[in-house]
Amino acid sequence: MLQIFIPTLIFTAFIAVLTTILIFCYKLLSSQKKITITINSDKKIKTIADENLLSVIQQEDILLPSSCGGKGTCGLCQCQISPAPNALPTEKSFLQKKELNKGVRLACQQQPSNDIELTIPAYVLNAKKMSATISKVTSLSARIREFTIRLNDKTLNYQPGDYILIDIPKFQIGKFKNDEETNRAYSISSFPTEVINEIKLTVTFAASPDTNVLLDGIGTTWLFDQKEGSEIQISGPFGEFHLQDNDKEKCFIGGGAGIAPLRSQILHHFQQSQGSNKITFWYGARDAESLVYEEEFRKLEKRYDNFEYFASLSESNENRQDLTKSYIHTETEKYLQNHPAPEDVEYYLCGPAPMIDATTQMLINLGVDEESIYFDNFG
Amino acid sequence: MHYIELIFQGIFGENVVLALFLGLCPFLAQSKRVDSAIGLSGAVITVMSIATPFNWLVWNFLLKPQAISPEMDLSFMRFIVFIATIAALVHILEKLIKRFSPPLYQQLGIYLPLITVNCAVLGTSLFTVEREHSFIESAIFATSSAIGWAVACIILATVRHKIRASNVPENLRGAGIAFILTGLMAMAFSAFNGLV
Repeated sequence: MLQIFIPTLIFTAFIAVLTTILIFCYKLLSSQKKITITINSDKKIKTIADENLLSVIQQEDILLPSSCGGKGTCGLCQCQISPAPNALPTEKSFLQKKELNKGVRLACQQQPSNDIELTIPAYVLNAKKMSATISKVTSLSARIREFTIRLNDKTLNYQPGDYILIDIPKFQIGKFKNDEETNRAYSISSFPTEVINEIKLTVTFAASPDTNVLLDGIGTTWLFDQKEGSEIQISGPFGEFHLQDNDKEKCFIGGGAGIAPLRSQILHHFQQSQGSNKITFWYGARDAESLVYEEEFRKLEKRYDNFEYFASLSESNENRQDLTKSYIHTETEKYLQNHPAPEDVEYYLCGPAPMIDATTQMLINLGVDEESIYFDNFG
Repeated sequence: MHYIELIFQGIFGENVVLALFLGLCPFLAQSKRVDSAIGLSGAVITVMSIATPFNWLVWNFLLKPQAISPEMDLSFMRFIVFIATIAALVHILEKLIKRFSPPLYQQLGIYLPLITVNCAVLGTSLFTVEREHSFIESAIFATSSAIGWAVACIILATVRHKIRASNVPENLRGAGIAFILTGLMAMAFSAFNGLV
């Protein structure tokens, strides 16, 4: 008995001594250096060196968007840091070389050890957290639903093209389980003056294009389970995908649920000014059923001479022989090839990542400058 | 003279990698590039030359038969205790380097914690214990063993760097040719065996 007991005791004591030394060393050696983080050369935050930048910012009630909880997988918490620290491989996969050179980094991957200057987009500083109620759920097609969300007490001063984050709690629906509180980004599909204090979201339940198997999206699974009247927490507005205020011809190209910010922008544009600049909207859906908001845009087309609406169906045009069965960017290309000056047009893209990539490539091949392509990639 | 012999034995005669085949996993994994090989070698040398004398102390004053009391024999615990001290030392070392030399920490950063599970470090500690080295002997033997590991790793890295331009049969590329190279190097090093 003693032969077991004494060695166990000695080993435990030994480990305890080691742990004590370790804790002592950690205390002694962890730098208590104070550093200052200057945000947008205005607000100053004092903190300890080597703390996670995202959590430092969030403690100051700055709602820098982040959906993955700091794992470096959503790429939303972008900010510009000066002097620019080394970029990690996790950051390189989200940022373009141009951005990396400018010092854009993901806040969740940075632990500043010296004073830094931080530039975050101004809209982040204006974003607020608020509670809201789902007042209406409309099925636009089997997979696409429109959620009308009433803001409970605050107003949301958003611009067309902005998005909000919806807090997703822990939940279990059938076999699908979400173990941690997180949030997901959704573009607003209504425009500011449509209904006061209400916003609309157009959400697609993602399905794999090849198999039609529903993919498990945490946010959408949860949102589709919510009934009218459920209360949700949102924060926002966020976004830089805004309409440029000028007289250039504007060409909107959207696919699938990417219609949301484009609908907001187009309707807002005609609401505000009926300028004479030409506007075309190219919308690619999967089949006739998924062709949402078509009526609305056809009406708009009849009412305004300078607006044109085109649609194409990528999978089958069985019920709609008047529409072509093709990808939308090939249709746009046909139009632009006969266009006198495609490089003078502004392009607003929103849709799945492959569609954005293909369209951007097509536009660059036509001689369009990258500067006049604006996109919202929600891949 | 005895100490010089020990140094020679540690680096060449009983090279941890090429004669004893210890610490092979980081040896093969980190020898793809010369700079990472040098980084890891630095970490191994530091950790090994500190951890082995420390383990010698633990052995002689705690674990050795009759170290605490005449009828107590704790020598069976040496594996787990040695690993625990190595792990703790590596942690302290990491903190120390981070505090006092951030550039070195940047360089060694990811390699340091890896050393904890490097069997060459544990192996050297066990050897000094088995051979009943004195404290100074154990320190010298550990340092030279670590240098031996570093020499082997850097040699393999440079050879692999060179071999990138060679026409290696397709199925042997990568790990295959690294194993063959290690074998050839081990054979070459076996020539040192009879010297000491």
